Amino acid sequence: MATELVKCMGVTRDFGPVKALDGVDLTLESGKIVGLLGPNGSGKTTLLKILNGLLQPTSGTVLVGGNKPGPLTKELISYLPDRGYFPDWMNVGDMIDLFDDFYSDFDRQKAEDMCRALELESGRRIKNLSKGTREKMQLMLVMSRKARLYLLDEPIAGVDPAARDFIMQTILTNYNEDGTVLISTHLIGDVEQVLDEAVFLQQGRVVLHESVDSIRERTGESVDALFREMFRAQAWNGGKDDAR
Amino acid sequence: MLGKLIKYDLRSCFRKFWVLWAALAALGVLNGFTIRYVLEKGQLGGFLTFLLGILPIILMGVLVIAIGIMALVYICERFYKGLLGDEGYLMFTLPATTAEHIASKCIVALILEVISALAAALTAFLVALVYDPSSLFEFLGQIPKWLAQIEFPRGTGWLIAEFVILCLVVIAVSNLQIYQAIAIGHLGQKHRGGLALLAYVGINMAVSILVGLLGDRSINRFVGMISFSFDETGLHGVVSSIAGGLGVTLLWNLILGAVFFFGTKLILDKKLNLE
Repeated sequence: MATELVKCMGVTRDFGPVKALDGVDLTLESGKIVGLLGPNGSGKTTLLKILNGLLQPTSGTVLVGGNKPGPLTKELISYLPDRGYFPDWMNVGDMIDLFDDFYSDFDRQKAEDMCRALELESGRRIKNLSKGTREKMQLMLVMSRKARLYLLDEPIAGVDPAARDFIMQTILTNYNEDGTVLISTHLIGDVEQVLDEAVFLQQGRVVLHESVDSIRERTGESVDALFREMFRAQAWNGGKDDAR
Repeated sequence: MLGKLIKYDLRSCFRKFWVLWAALAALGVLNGFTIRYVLEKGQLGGFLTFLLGILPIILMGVLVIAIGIMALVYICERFYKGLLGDEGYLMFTLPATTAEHIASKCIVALILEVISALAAALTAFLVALVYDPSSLFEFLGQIPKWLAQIEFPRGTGWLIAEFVILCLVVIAVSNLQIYQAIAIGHLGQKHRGGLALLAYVGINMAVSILVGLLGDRSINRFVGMISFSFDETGLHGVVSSIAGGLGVTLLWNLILGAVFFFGTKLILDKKLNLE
């Protein structure tokens, strides 16, 4: 039976006059792969940061596994941010040690096997790795945890199609099936096939939260097509309409 | 989790500084040899005297200063980059509390400063050891005899212990003040480094004003206590008066440290906003 893992109640986050999140109500259950979908600036990263405790909401409440974000919830969450976070003084072995030391659900053997597959020796300095390899290593570490909740922020943005396949494969073959994967992206076509649910964010508001099957059944179109329809921006036509 | 955080902060610190500490010790040994050589040879000529007698000493001095500056930069950088830069995405998602993060940074900074000071002292010892070992051991052998001849007032041991603790606390508080300033700078949307610097100056001014308001009367009372002790109770009274004064200073620094620690924690807990 599915259990409630994430609960957001009226979550708002202001950055000065800008509302990055505006009264988000969202409940996610265990054992799902959920797409957090929205155009750039819709509040996806802000929501993930709040779930992680990296940002405090201006108002509203967030619960993960029944607790407010803190050390307890951080034990449950495996987070892939949209940037590299490796300390530049560390080597590959240091990072594996660190995850092993701090996370009881970390599978060291799996991480070492994945590093070997990428020919990453333990003594390699992280700052000497290419950007792409660092990103892959970060993903491997995150997916080597048997976490209750994976928060993946734009894991396939800005990478070539081959790397996208590697990333999606790594996620799908390594995540804890009892846990939930929340993938934030605006590249719907690449993730749609694996999603159980889709959450559409628009200007900081949840405008749709529905199972993917139900979306297809209800609208007769793919999630990607629905997304394009809902978020279609009108290109500027050089002011021809105004001149008319 | 604090122990684990310290483990990684220490690893980062030692990887950067062990080479510098080793270089300083090596320069100490080199200086011992060159000083002995120059003094034994007497007239070497201007250039050789400079090359062997003066340059190694200058290099040693420059390295001591460089280590001091690098330690300060490292302490600022590890806090700023390690918690408030991109690394913050890793550190603040570890299952550790903000208090543990701040404590780890502060403890490792203190260890770095103590080891750097000890490395400088060890270097001076190495110079003397290599220059003239027999005189050094003779001097060291005399110390217990000199100490035995002095009649230390009761409580001197406690006084020394209190002084050492005070020194460590003062260094830790100065680190916490840096963290507090960086955390205040983090509240700004732009120019966070500049804001942190302004905050540091502002905190210094505020502390100075506070010490001026509260401290003058205490210092006068302390000086009065010492004079009174000389008159009335001899050296034993002086020791207890100094111990009292150090105790007041220690308490003041502990209060300051607590304000900086919890002030930094409050900002990181409530206003963390990684770019």
